[in-house]
Amino acid sequence: MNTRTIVRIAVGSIAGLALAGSAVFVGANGVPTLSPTSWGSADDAPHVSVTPPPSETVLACDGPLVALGLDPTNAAGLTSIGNLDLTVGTDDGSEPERANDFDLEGVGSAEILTQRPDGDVPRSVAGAGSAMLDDLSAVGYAISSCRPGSPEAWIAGTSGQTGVSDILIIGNAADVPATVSLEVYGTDGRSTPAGGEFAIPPHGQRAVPVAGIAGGEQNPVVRVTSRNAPVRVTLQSITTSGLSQQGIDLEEATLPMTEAVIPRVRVTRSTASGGSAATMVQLLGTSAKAGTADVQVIDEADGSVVAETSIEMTPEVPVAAAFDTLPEGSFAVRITSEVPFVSAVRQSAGRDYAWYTPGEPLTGESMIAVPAGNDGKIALSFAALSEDAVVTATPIGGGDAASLDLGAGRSGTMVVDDQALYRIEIDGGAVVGAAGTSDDGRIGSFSIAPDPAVPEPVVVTP
Amino acid sequence: MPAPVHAVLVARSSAAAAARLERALEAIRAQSQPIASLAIVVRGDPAPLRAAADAAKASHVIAAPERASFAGAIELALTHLPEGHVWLLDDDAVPEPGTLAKLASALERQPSVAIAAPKVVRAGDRRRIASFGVTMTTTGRTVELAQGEYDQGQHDRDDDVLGADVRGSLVRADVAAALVPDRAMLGADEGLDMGVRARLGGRRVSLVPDARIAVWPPRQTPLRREYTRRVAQLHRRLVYASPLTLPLKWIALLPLAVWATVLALVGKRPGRVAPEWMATFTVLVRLAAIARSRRRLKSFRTGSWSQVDALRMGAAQLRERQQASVDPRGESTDKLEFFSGGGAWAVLGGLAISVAAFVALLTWPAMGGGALLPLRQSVGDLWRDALWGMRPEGLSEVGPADPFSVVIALLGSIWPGGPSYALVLLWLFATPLSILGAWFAATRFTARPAARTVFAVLWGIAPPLWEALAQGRSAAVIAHVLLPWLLFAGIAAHRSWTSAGAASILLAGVLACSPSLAPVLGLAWLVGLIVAICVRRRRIAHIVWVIVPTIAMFAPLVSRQMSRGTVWALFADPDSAAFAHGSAAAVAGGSINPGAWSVLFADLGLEWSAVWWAPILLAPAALLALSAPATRKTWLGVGALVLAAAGSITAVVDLGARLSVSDGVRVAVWPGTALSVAWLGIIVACAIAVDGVRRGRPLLAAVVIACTVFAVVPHATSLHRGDTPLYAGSDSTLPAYVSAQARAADDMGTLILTPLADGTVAAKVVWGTSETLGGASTLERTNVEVSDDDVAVAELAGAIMSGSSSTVIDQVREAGLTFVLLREQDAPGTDQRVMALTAQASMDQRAGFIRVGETAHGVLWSVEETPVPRSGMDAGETTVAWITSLVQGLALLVALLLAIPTRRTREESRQKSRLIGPWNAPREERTR
Repeated sequence: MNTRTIVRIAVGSIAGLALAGSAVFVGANGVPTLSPTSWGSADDAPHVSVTPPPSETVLACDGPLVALGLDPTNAAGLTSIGNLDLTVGTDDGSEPERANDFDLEGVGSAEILTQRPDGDVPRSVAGAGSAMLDDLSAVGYAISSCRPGSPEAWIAGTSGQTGVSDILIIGNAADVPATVSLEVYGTDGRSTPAGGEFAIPPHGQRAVPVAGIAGGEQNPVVRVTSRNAPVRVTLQSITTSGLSQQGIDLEEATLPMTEAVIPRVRVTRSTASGGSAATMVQLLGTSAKAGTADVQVIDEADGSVVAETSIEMTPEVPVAAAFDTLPEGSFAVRITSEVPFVSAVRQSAGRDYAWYTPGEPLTGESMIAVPAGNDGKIALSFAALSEDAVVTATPIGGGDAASLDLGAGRSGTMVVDDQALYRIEIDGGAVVGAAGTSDDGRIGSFSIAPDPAVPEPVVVTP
Repeated sequence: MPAPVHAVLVARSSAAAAARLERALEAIRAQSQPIASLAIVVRGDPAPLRAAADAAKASHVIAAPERASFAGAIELALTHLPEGHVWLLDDDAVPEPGTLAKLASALERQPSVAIAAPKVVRAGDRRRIASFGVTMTTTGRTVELAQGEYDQGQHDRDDDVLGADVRGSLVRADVAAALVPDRAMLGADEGLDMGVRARLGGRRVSLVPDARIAVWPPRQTPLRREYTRRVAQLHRRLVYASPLTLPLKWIALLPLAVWATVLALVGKRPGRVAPEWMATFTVLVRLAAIARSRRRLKSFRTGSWSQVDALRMGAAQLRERQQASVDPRGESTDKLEFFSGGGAWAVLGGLAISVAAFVALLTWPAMGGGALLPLRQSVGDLWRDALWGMRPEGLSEVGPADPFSVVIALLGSIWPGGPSYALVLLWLFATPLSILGAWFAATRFTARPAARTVFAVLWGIAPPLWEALAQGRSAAVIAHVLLPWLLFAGIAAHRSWTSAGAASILLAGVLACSPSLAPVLGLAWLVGLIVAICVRRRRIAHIVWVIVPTIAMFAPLVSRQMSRGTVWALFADPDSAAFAHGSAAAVAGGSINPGAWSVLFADLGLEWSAVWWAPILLAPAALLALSAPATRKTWLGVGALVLAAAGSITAVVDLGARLSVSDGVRVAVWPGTALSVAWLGIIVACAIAVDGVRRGRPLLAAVVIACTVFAVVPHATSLHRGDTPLYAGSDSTLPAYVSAQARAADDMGTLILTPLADGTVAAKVVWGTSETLGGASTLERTNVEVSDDDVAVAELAGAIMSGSSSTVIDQVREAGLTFVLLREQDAPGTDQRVMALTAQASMDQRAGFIRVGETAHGVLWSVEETPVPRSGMDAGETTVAWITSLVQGLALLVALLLAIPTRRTREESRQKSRLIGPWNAPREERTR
């Protein structure tokens, strides 16, 4: 072995080691980031946020309340069993344009509220209605808000159990016909029911009994998609046990999300001592991926977690879980998952029950109308998300403002006079809000929505 | 009685001039025939030479301007001299003692002789003739009759010539004033010009073989020499022209310069281009000099041009001389052996594998998926996209095209009937073309056919190539095909202009496809330049040229990106799209997406999901490569390994380089091309190692090839298994209705809105029949701030998507848009569906829009009334467009002309081994 060979081998070894060393170095240090402007940082894609000018706000109210098969000559026919008492107003105290032409053919009609902006200034409008029934056809309390339509809506809480009469009421408040298609999610996944696609005329409503589209599903989830015009979707639910009526509810539609918060579920003393499954969560993973939903029931009083569970979600198959042993008290239900899901929580109280659906996060200002509650009062509940927030509710007609200090992850309730309009102001982080009552025999709630009159900005990636 | 002889000695004034002058004066003093008088013309300050001049008893010492030419100095001296023969000398010429006597006797013997010229020999080697008789061709080009030849008396009987070197010439007394050298020649061809004039005046030039004068080579830069040569030639052409053709010849100077430039480039003499143009402009403006020279010629002329023509060199003679000068040297023993050595079989095998893997493509009219887009439907549009100007995407974007657009235009021009089909052909032929290129690249490293074939096969089955094919990355595939050719030409760039020209085009092509390779390739170029400067010290211009076309092609883009502060965006892929990839370690190890293995196993029904071992399949190649420096080609081996390391590091950096926006998110640079470079380094080292080992060559090669083949199995079978984003597309990404309408009319704009998963909306404007590969712009995709154009598009998109009842029809029409297309991503989320449905509902209700229908590409509306035409470029932009296109076109044209092989370059290259490096030739002889 001469010197040249030794030098070669040495150079070769050093080159090899350097190569291996550089690979190890790169592997150990991970991927450096590089953006168009600099080394070691990342740039987002450029965005332009476009806020469209405010336009006419159209809110569709629920009603009339219906029952199926009350007419002995027409078992499949619908009969009106009552109307909601509306509380309606705008932010300047005036009344919006009201038209009672939202027809459910052959049964009755509900109101459509229309409010034009004041030039380029949006004019907030709100409306809500409630009804307390106590007759042969139904007992219990129902409450709902007047809402704008949406091209897609999910009804997450339905039941196929005996005695439950769930009726999907789809309304088109627009001036053009809407083409609606229904999809039902059951134990076998998604299916399109027979007759699941139909048109709804302008200013028309259509009632679809869930039993007719969901077959024998125990707790189906329904997706409503509408083309040409947005629709407002509500599930009206009446439960009968034997011959006795067990309550009525109006459940609003929801949309898939990855963090759902129901600000307040109240377990009354009688319910807590009853021991039956009074609180139930129903979920559906809406994406094609399976995931786990973490459900936490958090005490409003001290922020402690009183119940907790993880629910495996198979894509497009509804799953339900019951909390049997919740103590008396008010709780916020928080559900999080890495995949989008729709959810609803059912709570019963005496001879009534309510389906709660998670609300949209609120920030800044919005307006709410509260209809008749219990004893002239109604509860406004709020749950803060990841940041502290202060919620103030100011009566629009004049009066004292009430406010609520919420720590991150905490919830709270303020009781206000009913049949009034309130301006809700939120300082700090986003909150989720709901309004309703939750007493034995008189339970119902609707979520507080962001002001529909204020146009939502559209973020465009050019 | 013989006429007296006056000598004129032209000297330069400088420190060394005194010695030179002394030498010349000594030679004059030593003449057997005395001179009557001596005039010394000093160009510059005469003071340093005064002593020598006084000692020589010069009759006149004349100071001439420093810049005066030899002819100018003579002209000045003649005015001072009395009647007599004039002997023209300069201080670099040393006549032998009997020279003057023999020249003078030649004049005495033959009264018709106006000028007697000596034999000019080289001072360093007096057996070599520096000049002995000059003539010109029929077109006026100067031809030296004996330059450079050994003096064996072979020209001693040639007496009658057209002209001769002016140094040492003896001019007869009666014509000395009329035949004074022409100073407009700037120092070249003066003797020839004097001869021509003498001939026209019925006199002649006589060569006197016994009279010898030794000269030192002129101290001129090649540029200066070429310039004066060309000035003299062009000046003579205008002076000798008939009055009728003179204006034509003057006008033709510029076109002629263009033609001469082309010839110089094709002849691989780019050094002639600058002097050519300088000379052309010099002659073009010297009208006074032309008039003076013509007057002088006319005043002496008595006969016709036929007297001159008789002594010109004809075409036949010229060819004879050229053939005689060809040096029949032996050819290199390095045979190509492409067919007999197995290269052709490897290419054929590659084609077979390629067809087997992509047989389904044969039925596809066009490809889609991954980063693939259709190409423009006509060749004209393809090239229009490649130029600086209106961009085919964006509302009224004007700016530079990506250099990749030129590559795409070239690719599309292969199949003019349907340019998009060229991509299908590229997919089918990528492997065989890669093997072909690699086989030739291997000839630079090894003379062993087996090692060349191993190299070629390893390049054809390179994992980065197959990942690019499976993931639809056209730019990476093209770069992979071009890289071995770049290696083949680039590593020999210092040898010839042909290689340098080809390498310069290929470098521009590779970087156009993958700008992220710029640091690696720039480093390689810099190393080459440093080696050229430090080791070889010549042909540096060859290596410098290699990057010139690249600079020309990228300059407009660079200036734009720099001016807006997004310098790093220069490295963005021209065809960016999101892609699946593994960890940084896996990518550094050469496997972009090891996850493909788990899909393969799932397809086979196996439940293996661990894929950490995927890069280990390439370990045999890496280990073999590491042994390359231990062979005799140590430095080449080390260089290859450094290239591999640099490529691997670049690939990892690419992963983190999120530069281009695609569907609302910044996507990483495709690391495959960097891995191609790394793989190139590895297999060059492998080829060296295989070449260098004594035993077990076939076994080593077989193991490495088998492992590599196994590594590409998931990608090669991906199309059959359906595990690829590729699909059979059409020649448009827009609905057929738009495509058909846009084909009929120019510049039809479509606003494309796509609700994205993150709740935002992607909005873009496309002009013409489709989004295209060549029409995409990295400039637009790498933007970090929104431009006015973006805001305008975003406002339109916002108004449409928000579902508000505001009228947008006027804005859409004013923007020149004809269609609005609402697209849906695959598996849209609720937000996306809600946005799409809201937008649809509101668009359907808007006045001024007609719903065309729901198509496979989305929901389409068209504008009822004819929209306003798209705004064009303003005057300034048009100028920039022209200048940019011209400069880029010129750079590419020059590179192309340099790259075109001629008979001479082929012969030259045949004489050299293809192998690179000084160690090859003798050793290859031994091992053969």
